[in-house]
Amino acid sequence: MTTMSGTPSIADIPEMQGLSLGDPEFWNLSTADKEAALAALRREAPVSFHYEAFEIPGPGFWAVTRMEDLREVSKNPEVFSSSSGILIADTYAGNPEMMKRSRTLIAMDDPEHARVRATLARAFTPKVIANMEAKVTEVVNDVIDRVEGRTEVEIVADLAGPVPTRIICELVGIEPEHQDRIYKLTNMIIAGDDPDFGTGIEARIAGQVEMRTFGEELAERKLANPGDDIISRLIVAAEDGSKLGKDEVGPFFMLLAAAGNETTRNAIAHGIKAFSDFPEQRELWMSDFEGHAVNAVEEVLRWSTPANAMRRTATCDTVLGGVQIREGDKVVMFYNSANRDDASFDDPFVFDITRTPNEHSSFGAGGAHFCLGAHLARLEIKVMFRELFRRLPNLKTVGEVEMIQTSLINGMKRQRAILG
Amino acid sequence: MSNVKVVIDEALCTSNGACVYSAPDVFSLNENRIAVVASDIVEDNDDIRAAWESCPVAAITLFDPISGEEIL
Repeated sequence: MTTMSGTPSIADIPEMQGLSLGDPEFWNLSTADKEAALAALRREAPVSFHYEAFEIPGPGFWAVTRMEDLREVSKNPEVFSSSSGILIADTYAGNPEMMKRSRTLIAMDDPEHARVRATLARAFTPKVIANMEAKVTEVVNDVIDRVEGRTEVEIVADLAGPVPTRIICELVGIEPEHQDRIYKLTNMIIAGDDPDFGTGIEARIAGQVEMRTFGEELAERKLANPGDDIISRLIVAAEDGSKLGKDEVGPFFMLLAAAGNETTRNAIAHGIKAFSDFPEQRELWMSDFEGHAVNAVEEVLRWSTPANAMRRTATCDTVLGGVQIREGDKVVMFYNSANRDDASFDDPFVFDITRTPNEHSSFGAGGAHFCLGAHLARLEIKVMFRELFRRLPNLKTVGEVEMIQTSLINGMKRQRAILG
Repeated sequence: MSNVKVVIDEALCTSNGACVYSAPDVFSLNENRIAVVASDIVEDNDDIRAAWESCPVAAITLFDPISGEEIL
């Protein structure tokens, strides 16, 4: 590839093992191999070109691996646009109608993005979220009730998965009988590439269509019978012209249900594993829970990096990290890499709940698309570990972790743990 | 009409721009894309309150300019 500074091609980097970040095989490598490859990219080719070998063919993309460059991309939406899609592959290439109907806040640019975001942000302010602590505590304890007395659990299905699913369902106003379906659909949308969850692109599209349709039907039920939930407020209450249009509810619902469910699940699951792998950090947090809570939650977020990659598309020719980017090129931010960048973190591979400052990229690297649910995620993580430490103080993972095979998220599939 | 004092924690600002969208007459992003206010004492209105509430990192604090007390 042409670069202005003579940056090496990924083929010259042995740690890449002849693969690219756009190759599903890369994401099947062991965590240690992936970390070694990303470290080599940060060191030798921080902005590098990668071919795409996903199910949907694509022209390739620039992979951004250093925190400094992620921030540059994330904070310049005029140059690095979201409206051409935020996944590496174009799911709806050649299908503009589906693309239009599936567009969500996360794949919009200003001014449209700002208008929709301002409407939604009211449901996620620090004050609104702080008032949810009792509810979150109740849900967490109900989930723990179901495993208490057992000798062994699977942390994703038994602990980390149910909490965020139930919270987001309550927030959005999804009736309890539909919560299992929302959990399954989320897995299809996020991890349809993994044979355990779907059949690739077809499963992903089917999951999206079903989730969107569910959201539209939910909105109709709420119009007829409004409740104290986000969907009701968005479609009914607002009289100032800022409410969501009917065609905006489905995609928004899909984003909220999926994003509010799978991300925090992985933060909690990786957190449980981290506190098993580094018991001295658990002892430290348990010794003064409230005193360490703020920094500990941020370290769980950095360590877990639930969202692995988000894409932008260059709106003009530009230079990033010394590399020439052309108008129309795909540019992909790799958050896990930025969260292990030793230019931003001392000893990035050390799990340290007292780490400060801790300006991780787990909610994004700043800018217009900074995670809308950040306060909610922090609250759920804090309450989850507070109650786990209190009620299951000997929870310890055993055996090997199984990961979801995908470039999109840092998703844990299964991890056994003992309670005694 | 009463006034409020607006204080932005620059270390927290993530350049989200929600404040600029909600109250464009008051907030803007500077050359480093950090939110700034032209004047820190401004008229208290719905736009200011919306900007304050919509900041994803709670980097905006409002004070009563006379008593100096934080508005909660």
